Amino acid sequence: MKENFEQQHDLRKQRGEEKYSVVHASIIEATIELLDSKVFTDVTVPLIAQQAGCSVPSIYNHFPGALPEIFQHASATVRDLGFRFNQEKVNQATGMDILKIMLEGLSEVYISHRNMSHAMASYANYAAVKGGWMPTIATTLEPLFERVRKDQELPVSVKELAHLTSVIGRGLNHFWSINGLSDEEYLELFSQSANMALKAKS
Amino acid sequence: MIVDGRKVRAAKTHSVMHDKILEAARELLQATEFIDLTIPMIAQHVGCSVPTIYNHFPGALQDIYIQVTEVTIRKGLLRKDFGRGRLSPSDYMGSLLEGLAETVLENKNVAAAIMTYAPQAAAEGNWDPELLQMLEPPIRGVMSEMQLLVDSEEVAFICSVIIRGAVTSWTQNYITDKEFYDYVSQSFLMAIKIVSD
Repeated sequence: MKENFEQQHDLRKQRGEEKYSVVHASIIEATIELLDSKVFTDVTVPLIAQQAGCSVPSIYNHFPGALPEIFQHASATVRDLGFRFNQEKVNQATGMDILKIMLEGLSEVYISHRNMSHAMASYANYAAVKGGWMPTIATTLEPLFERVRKDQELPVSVKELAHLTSVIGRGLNHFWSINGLSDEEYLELFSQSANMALKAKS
Repeated sequence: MIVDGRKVRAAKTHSVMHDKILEAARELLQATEFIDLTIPMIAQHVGCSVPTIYNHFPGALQDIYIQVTEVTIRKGLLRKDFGRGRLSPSDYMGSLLEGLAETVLENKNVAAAIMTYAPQAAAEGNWDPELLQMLEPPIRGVMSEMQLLVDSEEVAFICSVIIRGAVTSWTQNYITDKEFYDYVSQSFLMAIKIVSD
């Protein structure tokens, strides 16, 4: 009898956790959807709740850090999408094309989620003040530079190149987010950012 | 010509008050994170009323941050500007950028504030300035002496992208103070390499 109860209890817990993670994902999805048609300064927690079909307190339950935290998770989702966007072509590429094709895919995804990306440029600073933000893109770039090194000689360490590429990329993201660059210019320059880092260090 | 003394005095008072507000914001940001800074706090620090601040800066904090940043960049570029002297053109430019880096390092919360508010202002449709355009005249100046076959405007642009990236990376804690300093002070040389073929 007791065993049965515990089993039932566990199932409830499991269902609870499943539901929690479904709601969690739906909040992120709702945020990304809203940002497809609204600039980020017009997106509010009640709007997200409405879009996700949940209550406002439920959002705060999932994301105590409110908008900065939601944007952080949403942009991490978008970024992961961007990393994988040209995956197959990246796998087949050689030399600096590896980086170029990957960064091209990433910037294309950023452009198709323009408002999300612009939100990221702004809100990352809120998150940083509170002590958190996404891991640097440099860690994703390093293994790619590692692959490049098999095809050609590199003037400095892959770490240094990945680091500078990420710095240039952030500069471009920010400049694009204040409308200093058109989408086309941004795409062109962002895909070149690894090449720029290479030139700067040679 | 009749000089309206009252008008002149009023204009003077206005501009003194304007500068006081900017200085107060900068001072407060030394010890306060930008997300905690409010207009009433600035008013209290200056010793003026809240409406006075809105009178000077209708766009409130956004306006204040833009102007504080402008002052900070201008001061930064002058900080180590001891004239060309015997410095080579690129060393001279490097020196200006070192001054900029040092000044920005002392004003991290100002940098974080402007990097945050600029995209918000742009999203709302009222971001105008590219504050780093202030780099263009000195770069044009030194490049005219260097006689390189590259476009100074392009170099200034890439230089500003590196600096912008360094500021963003630094305010978001991706890079250390030292790395920030190195990236900014070397940005001109890196930009020349990038633009040259």
